[in-house]
Amino acid sequence: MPMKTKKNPARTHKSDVLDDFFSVKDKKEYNKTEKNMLLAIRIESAMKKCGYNKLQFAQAMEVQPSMVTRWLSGTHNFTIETLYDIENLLSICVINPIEPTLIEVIDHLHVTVSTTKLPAGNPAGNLNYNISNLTHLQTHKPQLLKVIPN
Amino acid sequence: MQIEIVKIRSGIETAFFTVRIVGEQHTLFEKFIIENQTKYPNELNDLKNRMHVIASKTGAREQFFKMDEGNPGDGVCALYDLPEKKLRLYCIRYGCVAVILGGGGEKPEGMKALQESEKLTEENYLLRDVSSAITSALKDGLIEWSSDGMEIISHLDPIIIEI
Repeated sequence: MPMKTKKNPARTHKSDVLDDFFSVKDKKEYNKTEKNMLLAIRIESAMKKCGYNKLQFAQAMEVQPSMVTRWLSGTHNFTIETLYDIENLLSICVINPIEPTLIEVIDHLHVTVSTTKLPAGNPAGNLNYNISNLTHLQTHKPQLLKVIPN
Repeated sequence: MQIEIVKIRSGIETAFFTVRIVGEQHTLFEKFIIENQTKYPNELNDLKNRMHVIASKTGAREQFFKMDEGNPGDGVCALYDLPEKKLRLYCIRYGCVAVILGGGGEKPEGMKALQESEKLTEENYLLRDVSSAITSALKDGLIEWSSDGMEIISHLDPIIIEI
């Protein structure tokens, strides 16, 4: 019986040149690049959803197709006016001038609710008891709104 | 000529590979970095950031590449940098999950065809040959893609193929 030859993945090549290249030194620039690319994806997805190909979208926006290519490349520096026009045409929101309400995240508490019979008495009270035993939450007074038993 | 296929970076979305010409110290992509790091540090920085985003967040979506830079269907393309920037980096794109980085160079201002630049022509045509060699190696069963498309697998170790 012929022996099965072991197969391996391509080796990972490391070097000082590559390590230095890939290190992110300017976080601000990186964040900007990331946002630009994610915006480009958002526009492209919305285009497809609305049934536009690149040529049709260019015609609707009254620009050259090469400009749409540039918009979708993730490298373009949009004007606010262009973004408003894109928002209108594609019915999406990419500019949000309203400050989002800040929600203070105190902690993440994972609560598993089972379908077994809840203990007699006040289930909500029992749950409150368990939460209050988490000392790092006590100063923030978490509120349990309602427990709905089956 | 023989080339070795190596992986250089991998994220959740995309894996980056490059090739090393057997007998040379540096891979094609390392040579690109070394050749351009003094004159074009900002352009390299931009390319690096885009690669990070591609690897970890977005995948190698077609919209981020200047497609059809090689022969029809060979996957040779160029990674976009900012419109006003001056570097061209050639690569071979395999869907959204794998990219083989090649070399490149300065894109002369007003260049309409890559043949206007001797350096870009050389790098581009080399990568066309690499793409063709990889296609042949896949057909012959010398190499294969993993099920997720992010590894090149072979019984050859290291993975060296003829171009």
